[in-house]
Amino acid sequence: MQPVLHVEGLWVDYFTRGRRLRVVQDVSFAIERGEMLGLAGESGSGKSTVALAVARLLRPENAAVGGMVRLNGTDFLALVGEGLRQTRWKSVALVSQSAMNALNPVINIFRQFDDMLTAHGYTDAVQNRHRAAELLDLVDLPEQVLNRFPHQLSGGMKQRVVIALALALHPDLIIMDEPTTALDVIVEREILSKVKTLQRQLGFSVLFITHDLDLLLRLTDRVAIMYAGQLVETGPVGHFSRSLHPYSRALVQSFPSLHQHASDRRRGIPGAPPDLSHPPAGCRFHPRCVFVADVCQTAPAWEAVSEDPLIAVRCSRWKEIRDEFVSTVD
Amino acid sequence: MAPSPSPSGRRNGSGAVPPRCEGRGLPSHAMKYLLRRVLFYLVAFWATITLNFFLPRLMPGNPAEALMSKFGGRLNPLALHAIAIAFGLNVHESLWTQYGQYLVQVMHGNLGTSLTFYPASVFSVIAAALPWTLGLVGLSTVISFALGIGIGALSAWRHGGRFDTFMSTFFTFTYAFPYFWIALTFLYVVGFLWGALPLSGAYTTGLIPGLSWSFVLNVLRHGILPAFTIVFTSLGYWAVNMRNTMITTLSEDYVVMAEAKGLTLRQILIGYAGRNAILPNITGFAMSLGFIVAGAILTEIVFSYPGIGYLLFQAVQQEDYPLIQGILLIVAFAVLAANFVADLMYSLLDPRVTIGESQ
Repeated sequence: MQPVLHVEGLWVDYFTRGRRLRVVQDVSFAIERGEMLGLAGESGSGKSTVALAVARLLRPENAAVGGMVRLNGTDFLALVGEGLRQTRWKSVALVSQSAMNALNPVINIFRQFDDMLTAHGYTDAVQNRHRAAELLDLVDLPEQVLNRFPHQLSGGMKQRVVIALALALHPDLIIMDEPTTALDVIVEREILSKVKTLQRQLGFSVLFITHDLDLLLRLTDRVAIMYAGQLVETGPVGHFSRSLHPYSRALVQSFPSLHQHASDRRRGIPGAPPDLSHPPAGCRFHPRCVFVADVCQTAPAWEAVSEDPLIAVRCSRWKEIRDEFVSTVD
Repeated sequence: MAPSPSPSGRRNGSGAVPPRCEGRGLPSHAMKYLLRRVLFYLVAFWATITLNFFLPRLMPGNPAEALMSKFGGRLNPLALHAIAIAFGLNVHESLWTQYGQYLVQVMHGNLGTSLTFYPASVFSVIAAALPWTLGLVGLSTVISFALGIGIGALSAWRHGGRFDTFMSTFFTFTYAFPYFWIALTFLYVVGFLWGALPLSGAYTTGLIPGLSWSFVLNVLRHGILPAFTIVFTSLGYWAVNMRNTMITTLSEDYVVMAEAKGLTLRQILIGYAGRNAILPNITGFAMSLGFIVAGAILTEIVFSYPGIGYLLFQAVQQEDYPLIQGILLIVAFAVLAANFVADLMYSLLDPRVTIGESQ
């Protein structure tokens, strides 16, 4: 069965002050029907750019996008104009970063459902009201919310409204870009469990983007980790207790766990992410890597470790790292 | 480490609607808001009248002396005294008595008698000039605002593009020109050299004002050149301002969301980006609506247009104190009224305004 989303060799260039800056390079991944893929990385690693590129929301005057993005087998990057507009939201919906600001402040909630439904050919206002009320019910909000303006809702309610909006046209894929960053942990947990329930009910796929790796490991089916514009490792959630890339290992170790003594010190990753206008030669992580060797001066390839389940890594020394794991475990 | 969703989920905190007031309509809190604004503007208007009364009296000299120096050599003191009484320039009463009389007179719409247009009252002189100014300056301000907002919004949508680059350069250019130079140049080239449009006035002298087609056409022909120069020089201001607020608005999450939702370009540009970007420009527009009444003094002088601006110019030249005061009062009233209209427009366009006030 073909994946809902298939991204191959995706790259993105930003145009800044007359220069062209490659912020995403050689990103490949796929999401199966009903699957939730988590994309993690530090700020500036390019994870949100991947989301915007996949959703075709980068403006041509600001950015160039290349590679392949297939949604249900159709080439999404090749769509333009009216064809693109009509495909939006039906194939891929977006729950954007800080849903606080994702709703138009000057029109009420119903009109934010209605304008989208109208744009996709559903012009009967009475039916649209019905549909919007059903969608709100899916996320446990009462129908009266339709008459409210965004500033009259709490942060959690706004986020639920945005999720209800995303579900409206039964999209195959929902991209969630740090959907709960601005919410407190209790509301966050409520909303994420709601998303999981809805996903089981309705069968859509999710690309979930966050810097919170710990959250991804509890929530998603598979995880991909980004560093300096490239994917460095992907695999099922369970794989990351024995991850093969030094960066992913360091990232996993930098999150505290609840069952741990407070005296155990968390280890940060020394150094800072590279300046993308002058990325380090060879492996982009090598200046900060504890496993660095001469071989790291040449750029490592994106290499599949296993096909089913898919595990891939971008490190020239992943075999040695795996063997070290085996020896320490034994 | 499997995720642990709780499908039943408790409907608490974030699920309940806070019992806040309903958005729009005209319930009691909106009326309260409106009344508060009206009260504020009444107080502001009273302050204006008071200032208008005291300011000329704080200046050295007084209208009576100015009048005397004007006719000094030719009239005997008794005649001068008679004139001073006739014009209300008798300064022997106390300031407070005069102030009280002034307030009563203004309330009755009596702004005194014009010295320049004696024996016409200030009120009737202003009433004759006002329609010309409202028509010319009002229409060109509205046209300029509407065009500027449209051009600014389009420039911002593809900012950095060819249309935007051309418009930005062009408007910086037109905005930097001194108005009188533009007006005189157009007057000279189009009116004098080319002779395509009339040189001055609001209609051909000798024509009897009325609602006939020939008169209306005549007025329009006289209005084109002054209106064009006003639009030409003020358009840039609106376009550049709208462009800048629009660029900020376009990067808002809700505009990105609107595009992701697959809305049409029209829906995004008008309903999402434009609707929000126009809000900061409403204040500026209301201010300029208020100043319409002041007339475009330079325009009316250059084109000898019989509006309020030209009237003020004449009044100042003739030291016609009652007329100057009358015009200032009308202008102040118009500015306050325009601000009130802006308040109302805000509460219509931005649901956050009235509700924010009522809490």
